[in-house]
Amino acid sequence: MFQYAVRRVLISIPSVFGVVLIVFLMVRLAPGDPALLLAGEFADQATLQRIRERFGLDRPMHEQFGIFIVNLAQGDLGRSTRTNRQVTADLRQFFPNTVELAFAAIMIAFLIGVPAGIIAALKQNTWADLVVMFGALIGVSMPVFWFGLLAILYFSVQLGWFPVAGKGTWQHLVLPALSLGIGSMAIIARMTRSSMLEVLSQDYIRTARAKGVMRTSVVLKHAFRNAMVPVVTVGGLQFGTLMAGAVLTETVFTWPGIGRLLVDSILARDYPVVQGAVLLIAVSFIVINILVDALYGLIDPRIRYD
Amino acid sequence: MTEPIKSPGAEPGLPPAGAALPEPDGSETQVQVRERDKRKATPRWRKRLARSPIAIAGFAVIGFFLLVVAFAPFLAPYSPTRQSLRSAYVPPMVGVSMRGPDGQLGLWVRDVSRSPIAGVQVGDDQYPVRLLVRGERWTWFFGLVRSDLRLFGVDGPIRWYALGTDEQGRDLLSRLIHGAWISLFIGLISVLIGVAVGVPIGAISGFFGGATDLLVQRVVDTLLAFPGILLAIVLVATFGTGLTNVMIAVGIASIPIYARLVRGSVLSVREREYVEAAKALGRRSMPTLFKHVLPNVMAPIIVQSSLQMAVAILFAAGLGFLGLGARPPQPEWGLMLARGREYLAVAPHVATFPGLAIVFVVLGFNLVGDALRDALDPRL
Repeated sequence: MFQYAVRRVLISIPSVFGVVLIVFLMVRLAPGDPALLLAGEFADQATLQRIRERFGLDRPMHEQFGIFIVNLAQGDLGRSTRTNRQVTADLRQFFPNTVELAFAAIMIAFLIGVPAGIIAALKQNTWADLVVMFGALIGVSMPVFWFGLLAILYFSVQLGWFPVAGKGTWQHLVLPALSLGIGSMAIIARMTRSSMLEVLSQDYIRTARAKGVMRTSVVLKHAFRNAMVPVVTVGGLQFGTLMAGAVLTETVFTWPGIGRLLVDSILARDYPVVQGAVLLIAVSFIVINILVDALYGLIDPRIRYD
Repeated sequence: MTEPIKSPGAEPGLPPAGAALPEPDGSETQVQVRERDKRKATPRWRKRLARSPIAIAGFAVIGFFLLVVAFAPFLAPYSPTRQSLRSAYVPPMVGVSMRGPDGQLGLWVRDVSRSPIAGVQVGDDQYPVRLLVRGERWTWFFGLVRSDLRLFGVDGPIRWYALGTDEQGRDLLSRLIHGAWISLFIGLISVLIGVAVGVPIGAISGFFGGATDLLVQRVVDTLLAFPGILLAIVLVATFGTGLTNVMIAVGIASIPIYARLVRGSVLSVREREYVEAAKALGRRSMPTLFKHVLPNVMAPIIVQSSLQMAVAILFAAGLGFLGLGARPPQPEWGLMLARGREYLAVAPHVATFPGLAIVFVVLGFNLVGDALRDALDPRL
């Protein structure tokens, strides 16, 4: 297990390196003078010169990349061209909010998706199954930002149950988390259904029923626990995807997370922050995938890492 | 595994051709193979597809969508860009009745306007809505088709906004209809890019293996480390916003997905006997790859392409919504939604209908994708 974990981390290193390279290239490939992009449109000559020296922009590409990596290792991503704040300070402020939102979303997705999938599997080919599967299909076909807007319209504007936007109490979290989680919910429900159906057709389920174990017990103890293995994996991977999906949800609900920071920075051409946000989202996606892999081994003892 | 006595897990079995089997819901379905089909020897997956209600629903949606794209200016009652400030935010279905002034049946409408001070005002006179009327002139297909014939319109001096108007008093229905081709184009172009680049990369990577494979897979890994819409956002942030860049960005973002998919399929096909045979007969690698391997990995590519159309349309709408895609006068659905967001409390219909249009089209491609997967790979 430990050996596997080490190897899994080692395999991810090229990906992290590639992500860093892409983020580095973003500014260099974008049309325009990189110094101007990093310093902001209204920077004076002195600032431009300082930026050029600091990031070595007058030197060859590979040296620039070296400087970029050294700065990165020291936690230095430059300063925002809008606020002049350290990019890392911005990220530290906004990132926890996105984690909170994504975590709430994946919780909601599991809490609704798993029971819905189980019901669909147990009542296969009945109207309940049809409703769940059609709902799941709508769930993956729906733009999250549209669902968010409708949720605001009905639950906030008309019914007044939840605040329209922003962050603060738990009520602020409900609608953003629901609309962010709805796609994952659909995927988890589908996965739960097909996994349950597969497990329920196994011999040991028939044996359990034959020896007179109660139906609920068969479903919950014998089938559910085995069926959950692939569902947890898929759900875990969804968690990483939600970090990126938050870009849209956070914009709809003006949630102060990293996705909204990213979009605002792109629109304001604040490249240092764009680099930092992209880097953080991609690297946390890689880390989450490693964790999910490890979790897979913990919940399914049949899996061997050798 | 031995055949279980009762297998609730098995998907409803596919009846052999010519047999009449009870469907899972108990009803009898006739699956008689007609003589004509036998002679043409339709591939089995096509028969499965034709029989699947999911496929029929999906193809119906896509067919409708294609018709809307092709006949947009004829179907749309008005120009998608003509503004009218006295009718901004006109809500849908106001002043509509099924009876005329003298009690005649038909669709009758009144003049509806809206101003910040007076609110929604409905006129007194009723005018009938008729099919095939002469309206504003339009041109289509780069000026090749010109006419003033419209599918429906008001017979009278007023305008009827079936789905209401947006903040500049533009007819929402006309904008939705004229925006359809944008979604179709984004989907098609990005799928083409994904297939044209991703499939060869994945095929070569899987077929030749070794150092090429290792290198390609590390690059693919890196690109896949940008989850979902993020890779498209990164590309748009780098190369600039706008519709063209969005199409390219969404297409590039799908390359690693195709590369990974095709590599996996090629790996499994590579070891088959017919590939061995081709090799044994002295065929060189490249012809073997294109003649024997690629045709046998088409199924997952086709399925993925349908699902990818759905994803591309969603991504492009998302980018439009974020302000990174289409630019204001363009009737792109995501952008329309973003405009509607600003006036959600005043005019909820402005945000509602573009979203419905997106769901409808994306659902169509998802349905077809699912149906194709079931038909092409019955094991799943």
